[in-house]
Amino acid sequence: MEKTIKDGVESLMDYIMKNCLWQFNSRTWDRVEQNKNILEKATQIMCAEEVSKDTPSERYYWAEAQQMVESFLETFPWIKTMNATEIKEMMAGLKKRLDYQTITGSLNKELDDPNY
Amino acid sequence: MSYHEFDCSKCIPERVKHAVDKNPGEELSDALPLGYLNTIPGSLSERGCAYCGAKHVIGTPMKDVIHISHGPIGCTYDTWQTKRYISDNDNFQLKYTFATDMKEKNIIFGAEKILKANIIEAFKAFPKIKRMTIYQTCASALIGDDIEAVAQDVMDEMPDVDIFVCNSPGFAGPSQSGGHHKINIAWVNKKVGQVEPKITSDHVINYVGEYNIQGDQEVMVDYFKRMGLQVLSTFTGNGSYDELRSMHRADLNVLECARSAEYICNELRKRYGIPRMDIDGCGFEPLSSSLRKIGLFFGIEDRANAIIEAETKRWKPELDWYKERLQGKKVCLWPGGSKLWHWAHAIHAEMGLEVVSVYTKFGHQGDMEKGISRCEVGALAIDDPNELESVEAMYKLKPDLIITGKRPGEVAKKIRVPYLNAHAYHNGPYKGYEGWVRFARDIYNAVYSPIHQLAFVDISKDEIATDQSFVTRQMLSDGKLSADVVNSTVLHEYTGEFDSLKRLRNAKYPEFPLQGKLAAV
Amino acid sequence: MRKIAIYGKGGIGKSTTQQNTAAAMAHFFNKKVFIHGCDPKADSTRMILGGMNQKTLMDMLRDEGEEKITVERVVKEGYGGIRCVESGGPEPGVGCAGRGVITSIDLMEKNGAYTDDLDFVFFDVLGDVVCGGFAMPIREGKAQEVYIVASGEMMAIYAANNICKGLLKYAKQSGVRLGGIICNSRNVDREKEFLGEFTAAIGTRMIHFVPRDNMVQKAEFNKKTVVEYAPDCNQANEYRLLAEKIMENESFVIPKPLSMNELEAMVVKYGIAD
Repeated sequence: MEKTIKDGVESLMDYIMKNCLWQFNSRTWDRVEQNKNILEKATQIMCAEEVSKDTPSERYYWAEAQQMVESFLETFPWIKTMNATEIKEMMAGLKKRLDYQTITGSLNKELDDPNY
Repeated sequence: MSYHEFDCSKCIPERVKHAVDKNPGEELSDALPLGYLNTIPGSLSERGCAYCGAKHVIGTPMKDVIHISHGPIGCTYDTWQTKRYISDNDNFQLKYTFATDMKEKNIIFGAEKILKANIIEAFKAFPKIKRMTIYQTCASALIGDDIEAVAQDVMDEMPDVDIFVCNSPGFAGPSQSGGHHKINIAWVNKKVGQVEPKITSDHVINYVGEYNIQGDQEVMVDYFKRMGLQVLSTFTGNGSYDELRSMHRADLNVLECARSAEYICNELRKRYGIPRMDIDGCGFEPLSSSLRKIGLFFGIEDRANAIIEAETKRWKPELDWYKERLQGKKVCLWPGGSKLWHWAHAIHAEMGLEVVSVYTKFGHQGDMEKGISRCEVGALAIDDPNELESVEAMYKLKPDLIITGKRPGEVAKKIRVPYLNAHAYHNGPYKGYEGWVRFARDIYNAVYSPIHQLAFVDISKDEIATDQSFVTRQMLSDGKLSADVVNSTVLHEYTGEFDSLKRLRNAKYPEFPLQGKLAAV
Repeated sequence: MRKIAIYGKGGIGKSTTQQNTAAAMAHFFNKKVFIHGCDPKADSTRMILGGMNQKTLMDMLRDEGEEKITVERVVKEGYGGIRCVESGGPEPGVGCAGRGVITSIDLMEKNGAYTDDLDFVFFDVLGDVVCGGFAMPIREGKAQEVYIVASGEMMAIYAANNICKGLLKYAKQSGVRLGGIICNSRNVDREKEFLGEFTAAIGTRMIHFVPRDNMVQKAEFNKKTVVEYAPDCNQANEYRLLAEKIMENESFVIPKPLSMNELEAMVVKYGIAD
């Protein structure tokens, strides 16, 4: 399953970079929050776990995650064959990749401006 | 990605870091063009100034407002009528523009008196308009005119008017983008929260970062209304001053152009806890995802799905007709700041076009991150280009079409590449399902124009065929297609009207009675 | 919090008076003070900061851009916990210093530099209020009271009268008021009387007469205010009195500047004597 998970991460990463905008907010602290919350909720949805959506911002993260997961399942039907552990491993790998590309490895100098 | 050095810019070594080739196997963390820096001496950039960003881009689309600039007449004229942000009150803000026409003596002796006289004269000339925005220019900024005090004076004398002062002179930022920032922050600091709106729906949004170019906003608001959403205000296309003062009461900020309006979204998020949701209104897939996301947020995704299904069914066959004929055509996507990422993937996936280059005139590095992620490998990304570089890029990349602004577009015409106007559109609106088909149609008409073919003929030496006198676009485009496609009964050309907004303006919307939080009131 | 703007003819001793007063407020009365220097020469805070020419706001704006400016980087703390910032501006003969003042005060407000814990904020403005920019400190929401530093010399009084004309215009708009005239003595004959009559004529009073004393120069050579250098000397006490009078001042007026004729007549009266 090692290879498939790595490939899975790449496919999802490619999809997100081509289609989503939430990972590109303009400050480091904002991207940290977005990546963490949306990917966390997406993982919960994919593993059929409870997702909290009580506050407006939680509802927002959930809406993004839900929409994304629906697209994932349509575009990548092989996700349905994975079990919860594999999904969690894949999503953790995805978060690592995404955090690197959009935060730690990003060459965008504006990310650290103190004001918005 | 590796940095791209233009031959013509070899003498300005600083330009190297402003252009990047997307090579296979490379990612954003390998190379990213610099952005939002001062224009480099030696290159004549295509940017506007901060005053233009504040007044022309964001301020003036407000429709029930007198927009007056406090400065010389030239500043005013040059930021008028070059963008088609229409409105449903017969385009008041497009038809009229106002200036205090400062002259040398006003610079020396101060111009506050003529400003006050002008404000009062403007209100008297249009007694039905009770709102005004005043834009500071370089001239009035330098002499220190206290525009706020004059505005307050007038508001005290005429209690039924309200005036917003925007202090964003031309020199206040590296480019237009500085002006966007200033007016965003000024508006949220001074005006948001002053008016309490009437809430007519359980689901209330602000539509932010949309300027109603040729009716884009009206198309999108049509979808929102069909979903039963109340669009409290639009920032600022077809927008009303007083509605914009009530932005704080929305449940969600739907953000289209993040480049020009993310600042106010972030402030509203910080001060009022309203979440910010970035959407794409361009392209069938992105638009469907966006409508669905908004539906999910409010728990009304079934209404969104209904709209998506109906619209897609109506317009997809037409989009596909154009897609078959545009496959593989090369396009340079050269807009101002955000369309490079709104359109880069969508026109490739849905119209089959190859985006060989993207650029941004005043965008930040964030726009480049989004744009480069969304375009394909092999594209050239340029920040703050100038005409020499764009011409070199066009010769090298040999595009079939350029999508850009008027002025770079004229340069393209001279080297015989057709162009489409990315800022004010040709036959828009381009948002929405029908709009996207109109866009495809414009692209098709531009690429296959028989007149355009003639541009390649040199009558001094080329043979002119005398047996071919009648050429149509379809003859040019259908030559290489399979018989199935050409004779398809499903696919067909655009069948909408010339003015697709007419029926929207008189449309009736379903009633969604209030439940939830307000029913108890 | 009281915001105070100090105006007066160039070279009359505004910065010296202002810094010494601030030092007295901090030392004798434990007040929290903020000094915002609005002179391109950027010398409004040297004595509080022990001679250091702090990096000016305009320099930082020019070199690094507005986004990188934070309160911690431009505001420095000196003697008595007094917080200092210098607007800075262009060299003589170039640019637009007035615009520099506008931008620097804007930036400080935007970044929340004038915090609620402050008792006094001083704006030290350069001598000749030649354009709209230098009136920025007395616009809406900024300094509510102005003190003009003058002496018994003709030119100083002309300048003070002129500044009152500008004050008149802003008094209506933003509510700023004249708190009084501070006399920085030049040991001119009948200085006190001249100033007494002038200030009464324009509707205010001479809030304090600061005598001339070498101690001020001595302290300055040592890059200190008199209050820091020799807190027990007579001059330090004078500044203590001035500080007290400002703190307890309740007379805030809209000045009635004199016409040229009236002013000339007064000058003649005090000049011919002896």
